[in-house]
Amino acid sequence: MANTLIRRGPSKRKQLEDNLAHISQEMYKRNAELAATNNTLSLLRTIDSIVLESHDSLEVLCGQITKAMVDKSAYNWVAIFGRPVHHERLELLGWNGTDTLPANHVADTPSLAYLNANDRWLDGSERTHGIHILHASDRAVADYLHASPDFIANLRDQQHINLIQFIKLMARGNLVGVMAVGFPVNIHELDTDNKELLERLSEAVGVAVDNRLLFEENQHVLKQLQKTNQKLRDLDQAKDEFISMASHQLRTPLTSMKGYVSMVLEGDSGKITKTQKNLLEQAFGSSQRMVYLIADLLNVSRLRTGKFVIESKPTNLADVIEGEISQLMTSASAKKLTLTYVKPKNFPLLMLDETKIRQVVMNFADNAIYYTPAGGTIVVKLSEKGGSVECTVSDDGIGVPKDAQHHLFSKFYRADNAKEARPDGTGLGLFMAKKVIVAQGGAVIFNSPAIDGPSKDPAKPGSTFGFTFSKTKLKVPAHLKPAGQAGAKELSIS
Amino acid sequence: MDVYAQIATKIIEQQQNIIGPVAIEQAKTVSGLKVDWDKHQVTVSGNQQSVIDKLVDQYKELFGKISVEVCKEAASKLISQLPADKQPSSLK
Repeated sequence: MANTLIRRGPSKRKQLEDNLAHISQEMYKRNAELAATNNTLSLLRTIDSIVLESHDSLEVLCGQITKAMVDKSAYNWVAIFGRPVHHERLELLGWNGTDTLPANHVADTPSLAYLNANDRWLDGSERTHGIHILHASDRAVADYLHASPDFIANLRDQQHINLIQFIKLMARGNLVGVMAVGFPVNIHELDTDNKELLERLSEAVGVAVDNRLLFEENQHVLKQLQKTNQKLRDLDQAKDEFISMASHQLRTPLTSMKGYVSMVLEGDSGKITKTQKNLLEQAFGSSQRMVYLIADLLNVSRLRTGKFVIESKPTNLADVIEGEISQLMTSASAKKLTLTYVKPKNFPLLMLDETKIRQVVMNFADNAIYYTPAGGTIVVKLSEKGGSVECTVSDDGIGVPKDAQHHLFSKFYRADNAKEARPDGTGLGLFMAKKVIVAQGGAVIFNSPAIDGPSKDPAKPGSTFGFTFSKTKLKVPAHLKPAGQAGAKELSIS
Repeated sequence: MDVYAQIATKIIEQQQNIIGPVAIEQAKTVSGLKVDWDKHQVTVSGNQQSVIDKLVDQYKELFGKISVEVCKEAASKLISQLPADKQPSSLK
């Protein structure tokens, strides 16, 4: 019995030792796997941080990624090929090798190496592709990589590479590049772990390259847009300068034309017949319209250069409107239109830029005459509504189609039906009218079909254009009120 | 640092990643290998190839064949720079 125990003792101890060794080895194996996973995760995290923090070019980014891969893995050499914006072939963007090589191998020479985009492997479904360079001729390898024999010799003799494993970099289902990884001379085929690691890395690098390519493409498009914008701005400026110059040049002879017609109309050159008077009134009205048109052009130019200013002074808006409407009476009756002005009694003086508001009224009424067919009616109305004043020009003309209403006050915009009725319009009148009204603190009134317009016939939708101002905003200060408008106390003060 | 010292450092580093400080303690027991890990200094004296083989054996004794594979992988970049006759036999 004792003898048996003595024999069993060392055997049990041996068994225990064996078990312990087995457990140690199993634990070591698990730890080794964990360490490899940690290393992979750390490398992926490093690539992510490089991508997130880097604001450099695609080439520099690839240089940084390949350096991280060489530093944190067993790879002797890593290179990234990609297709930079507007390049046909896959250029070597960045590469890094083992410690013995000079640092920072960003591919600053574009033709250092490249892959043919129409290579059979690139076109095929295989994700990876390997070449052994140790026993292949320099020429054969150089032909594949399109690199110099020196470059290949460097890979073989300095980097001690035998196997170069190429793996496609895919993103959003597209080939964005190729990653090449150099393995040392003692590795001939990749094991499953290495293949899996390469695939995970290639996914991260693929996304990184794709993002940077998209960013660079965006930058490229942005630069082109900036260039085009600058060209357009230059052209626009040249156009404005031309308009400004031409308008100034036109204004002087036009003023003298208008003056002389006015003199003839007033009888300065002797008596004129009724027909002559009628014709001259037409000429005077047209030249007045041309004056307003030129003023619009000049104001548009002033808006651009910041020289557009409102010069307010006490204005009798009721009289201003009357003056403009009376000028248009002749052209309205020539078109067989009924033009009516509903003038209010005792309308208050308002602080307005008289010249500009005159133009606005003229523009609304002139448009109404142009866009109302013969036999139509135009009603111009000025009224006080509580704390505000309102001026409207309503007609039973062609109206403004719904789809055009949104653009109506844009520069140079003209609705299709307006172009048809009057091909020679500039599209500046309403644009300037809105600017003038808003610059003086008012709001534009517009509706089509005209609300409370002269016609209820759907075939004559008509439109209403106008403006409204707050009386308080445009109140004339006491010191500017003319004698008749100021109170007794104020008079005594002045 | 010469290439053998670099190889030893890489191996100890990788083993440390897996088994922790035990890796350094085990390396210190290898004759011909002087390890000052706080300063990250490793020197290899005598027959350097044989010292590296002993280091690899030290880990193999404790953790089996797989630890040799780990050593090979850790040193692979550096090994490939050495001519075949200068490579430690355990890492070939």
